[in-house]
Amino acid sequence: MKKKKLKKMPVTAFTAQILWVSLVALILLPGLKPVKSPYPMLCAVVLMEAAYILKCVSKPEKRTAASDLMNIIWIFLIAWEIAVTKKNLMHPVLVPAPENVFYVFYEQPLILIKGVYDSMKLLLVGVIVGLAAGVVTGLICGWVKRLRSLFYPVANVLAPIPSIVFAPYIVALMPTFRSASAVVIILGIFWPTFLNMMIRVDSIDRQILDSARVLNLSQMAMVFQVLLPYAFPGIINSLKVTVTTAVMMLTFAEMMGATSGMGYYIVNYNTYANYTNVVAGIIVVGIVVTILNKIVGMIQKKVIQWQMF
Amino acid sequence: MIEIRDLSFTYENSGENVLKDFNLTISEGEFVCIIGHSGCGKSTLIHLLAGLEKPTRGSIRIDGQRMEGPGTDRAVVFQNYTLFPWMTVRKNIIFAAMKTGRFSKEEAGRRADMFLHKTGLSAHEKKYPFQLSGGMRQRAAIAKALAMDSEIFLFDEPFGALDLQNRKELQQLLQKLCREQTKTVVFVTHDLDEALTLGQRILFIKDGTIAKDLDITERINDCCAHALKYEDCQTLKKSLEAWFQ
Repeated sequence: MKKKKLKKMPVTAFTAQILWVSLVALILLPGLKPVKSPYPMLCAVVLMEAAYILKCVSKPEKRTAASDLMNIIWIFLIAWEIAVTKKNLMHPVLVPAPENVFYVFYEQPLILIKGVYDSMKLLLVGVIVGLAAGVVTGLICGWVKRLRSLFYPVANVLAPIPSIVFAPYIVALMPTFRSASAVVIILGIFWPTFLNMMIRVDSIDRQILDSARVLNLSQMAMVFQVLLPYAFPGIINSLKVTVTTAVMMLTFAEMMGATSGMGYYIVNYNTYANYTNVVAGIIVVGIVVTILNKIVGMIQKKVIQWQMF
Repeated sequence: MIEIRDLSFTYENSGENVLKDFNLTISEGEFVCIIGHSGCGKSTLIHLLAGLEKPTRGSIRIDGQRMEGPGTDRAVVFQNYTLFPWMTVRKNIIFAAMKTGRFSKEEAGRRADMFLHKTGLSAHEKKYPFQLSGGMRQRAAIAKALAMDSEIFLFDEPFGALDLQNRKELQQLLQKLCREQTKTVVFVTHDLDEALTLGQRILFIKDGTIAKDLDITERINDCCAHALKYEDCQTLKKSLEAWFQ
């Protein structure tokens, strides 16, 4: 039985372990560049290894993909460690030591958590309002021919333009920078969703439409009881893209004069050329996006049960 | 009663004149099968009767009232997608029954349970259409039509996509249920066997008009009442087939 398990382990799982051990040894060895403390990085690396092992044990079918990913992460961290801390080959300001970057998580946990919390509040408002407005107006305009002819070309032009481009006008119109940030996110979500909904309504299967029409439904019933549930999988499936776009808009929006949030955190330390904290902020944004994508994936699995038609 | 007078229909996009000066009267409780080659206008006729298309000329009257559009006095069963994919079988039936305006949610629920039982789908009421086989989906579509308690049933090649075994089972089920409910049925098919099995009256459509209007009930019943006259049944069928081809 044990032999069978060993046989099924991919080669990259073994290489991942070798690389992990090498990385831990490298961290503990002294280097040319002084660092604040190696222990936070060591903790992070141990936690990542633990998460990887847990994944391999709980989901054997995902072992190969997880092992491939860990190999890349370990190789990257080893290269970073050697290039900066051990050999001091890189630009001293632009490329911080990995130990110092991970030290930021030990030094400023509450600041980082608050930054994430403030960003998420703004993100939630932007995504919910942008999505709701885009879906409802998109369905109505997609269904009513006259509105469709009017708004489809407008949406086609506005959807690809990043809403941050309109930032100066939004800042001038809105009472606060925070509300301006929210509007930037809302517009960044609204136009692509609006266009997507109109396209989805236009492509609805004719027979589904006929099945609805023979029930003599009112226009509102047609939009909310037929078109909306029909379009729902499309909304959920594009939620990952929507969330990624929202995080992008959020980071840009917070650079416009916010006083909190992850975007503000990154811009603030960038201004002072403190790239250690900038890189830490980037890592936090990456972790947040990964978690959000996981949540969206869970929502997708739970909500769309009927899509296999 | 359905009265069609001087009905003509031309597709706007192609300019194709599918139905020409079509005249037809269907009495209450009649089971009429409409048969014809592809493109002869039989599905178009169903769409016109369902109110999904507007005639280019002429009129359709139901019980003396001019038909202006779709209505829940007619229940339609298509070949595909009669059921909404995002609702379970039971919810589809309840939704349709409630939209007629004749039933409350509780009554619609009771009717759904009754017709799910009659069509043998009680065990599948919580499934989504994608989880059902083609035959089961059409059973559910029939249950939905029956639950609506409409006066007129319109079927547009409902068994066209099914295998022979399923088709036979569903034909028997439909015959039994329509006899119980005494509904007016207009059934479009391309299968002569099916038309002979189900219909009291067969309309052959050719070039957008009725080429033949055959009341076969008496003749078939006479034939099939006595085993000795089985050959007469087959002779009739062969002559119809020869004409149809």
